[in-house]
Amino acid sequence: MTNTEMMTKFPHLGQASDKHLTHEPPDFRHEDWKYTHFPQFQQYKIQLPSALSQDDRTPLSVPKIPLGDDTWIVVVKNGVIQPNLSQLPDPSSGISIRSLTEADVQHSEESGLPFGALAMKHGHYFSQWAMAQHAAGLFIDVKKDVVAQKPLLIQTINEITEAKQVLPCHHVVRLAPHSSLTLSEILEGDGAGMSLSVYEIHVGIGANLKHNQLQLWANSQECIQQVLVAQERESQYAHFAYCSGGKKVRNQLTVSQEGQMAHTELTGLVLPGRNEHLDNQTLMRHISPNCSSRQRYRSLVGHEGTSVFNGKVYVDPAAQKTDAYQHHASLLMHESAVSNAKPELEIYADDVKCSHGATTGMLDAGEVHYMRSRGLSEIQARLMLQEAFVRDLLESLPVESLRSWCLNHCVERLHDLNRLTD
Amino acid sequence: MLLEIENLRASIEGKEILKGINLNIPSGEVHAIMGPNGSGKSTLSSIIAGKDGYDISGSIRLDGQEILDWEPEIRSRAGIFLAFQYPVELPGVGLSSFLRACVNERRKYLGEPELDASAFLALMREKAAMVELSQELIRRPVNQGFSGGEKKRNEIFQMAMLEPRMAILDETDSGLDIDALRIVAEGVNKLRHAQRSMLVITHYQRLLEYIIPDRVHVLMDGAIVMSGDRTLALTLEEKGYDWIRAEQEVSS
Ligand SMILES: Nc1ncnc2c1ncn2[C@@H]1O[C@H](COP(=O)(O)OP(=O)(O)O)[C@@H](O)[C@H]1O
Ligand SMILES: [Mg+2]
Repeated sequence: MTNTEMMTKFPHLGQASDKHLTHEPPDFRHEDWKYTHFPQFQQYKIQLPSALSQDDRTPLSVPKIPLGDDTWIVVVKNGVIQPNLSQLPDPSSGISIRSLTEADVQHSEESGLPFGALAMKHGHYFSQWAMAQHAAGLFIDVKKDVVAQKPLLIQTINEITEAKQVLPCHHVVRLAPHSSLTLSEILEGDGAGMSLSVYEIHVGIGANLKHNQLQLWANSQECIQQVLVAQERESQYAHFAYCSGGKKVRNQLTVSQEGQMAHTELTGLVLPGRNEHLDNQTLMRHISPNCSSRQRYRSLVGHEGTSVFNGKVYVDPAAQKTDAYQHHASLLMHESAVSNAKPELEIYADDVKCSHGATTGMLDAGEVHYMRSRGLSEIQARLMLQEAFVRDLLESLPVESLRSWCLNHCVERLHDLNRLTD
Repeated sequence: MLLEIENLRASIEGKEILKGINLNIPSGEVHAIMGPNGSGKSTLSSIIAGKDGYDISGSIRLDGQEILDWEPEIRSRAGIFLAFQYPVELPGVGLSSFLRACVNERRKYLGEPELDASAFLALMREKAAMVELSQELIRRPVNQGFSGGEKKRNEIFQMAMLEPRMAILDETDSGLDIDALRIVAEGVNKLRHAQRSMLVITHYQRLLEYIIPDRVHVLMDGAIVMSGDRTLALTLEEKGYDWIRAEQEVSS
């Protein structure tokens, strides 16, 4: 797909600005893709959601999460909502969830917030590629002043059986002014294909979105995801990422603070195991004054696992009084574990507070010995220290039931990673 | 004999640090080891507790059983406890969940049932009060943000929780002011028991005014050069280690 072809499909987008719009996927020569690239992407076949039946009644292995009746649930299999497995909010709630349609796209253009605009402005090659395929997905719309009475959980199950098949999705989330929502996602599946998802999220004036993504990909699966967020003034956006696995995963989070007094909180916990490569990139765009952001990422890397973290903070000349914080820590479980972490700060305003820090290392032998000398076995000691490393981040998960589920998942994952290490 | 150390030699990177130590501690007795800096006191206590990295020969027996090839956690479960000279901070590891795991490992080893949460909590309250460790500290991660004195009291608290057979206190008095020293010493004295022995390592005589030892040994340059009753500590305080060196030269 060329530039021109993309423009024909999205005529309303005008001139796409960017260097990303090349004819070929970026390779290792591109700084952002140095550690993670997909050289064979052009040979991938597209699997469009519409190719699957709308009414897939085959029983799904939806993970049992004790969320109770106090949650709205949307089950999405291979890009298609499964109404019989979902508990959708009723229309009176002020929250609507449905599949993105051509009509929505048309309507969005009239409303002045066209779908695809964020992706074309800040999306990377793969996001723009997905847009060009007319990828569809969910449209979540929260009306003005609506405070969601329950958290919303989206369970995404992608079973793309064949390698080199890609399922592109495009999700849109809109929070109208002064509304609020807790949106949690559990993403998992089987097979060997690639999930390619673009999220366009608009958080209106004074609105508050808590967005939690738990990626539980199998170690045969690939994923490219870009979450693009535009925040209006006085809004809050919190993103929590838990990435427990995947063959090759590239998550990009691009947040633009388009109005004053916005706050952004980005938290991530990454646990790659053997032959798994999990890459998280953030771009925090401070383009308005008096905003703040706080990024905390931790990677616990198992035997022959790889974690990549690249955290960019851009502070525009106009963004005076910005308060930006970023920290990344990695704990390597074995000599063969790899962590590539790089903070990138581009600061063009002078009256700002920006701090960042990064640590990487293995468990401290002195700590392990101290614990053993009190009666714990080596593995007990290691697990306790590793759990302490992740627990504090998990506290940022705002839904209690999800938090304890996630902690259990994490502890099981740590057991697996330690078993492989021995 | 509760602890028997026989001709213990230890070297690290080719450097001999312990040069043939013989030491017997009967059940219920408190022995003190005094010696100048660098004489090998911490090395001796680390080796009893199972720290690796040394070339070791000789023998260490607990209740008649050779323990030199036991892992540190097995020694701990069997009743050896070392209060570290420099207690380690465990970032994010809560003191009470850590200790609960430790106590239950020791109980399992002894064939006793594990303590449930409420029984454990009650035990913890009781023992913490003994060394005046506040409930606030107990809720924190192990030693994180503790002052020097609090770390030392935390070591004695953990000792009280684990009820060891053989407790080794490596310079638990160093860095303590006089009030903290008294609290620690009183805690230790409450733990004296006919079935428990202690090895108190110190640099100064002061601690031994509070914890009265049955025997005092002087360790110099990796060997025990003199042993005696508690008055030896006083003589040593008065005359200094040079006196021992002079005595040794006379006898050799
Ligand atoms: N890991 C080590 N490597 C090399 N030398 C060591 C090591 N640990 C201790 N030593 C040396 O062994 C001697 C005894 O040390 P230590 O047992 O700490 O003495 P003390 O506790 O009596 O002050 C000192 O000379 C010290 O420098
Ligand atoms: Mg010492």
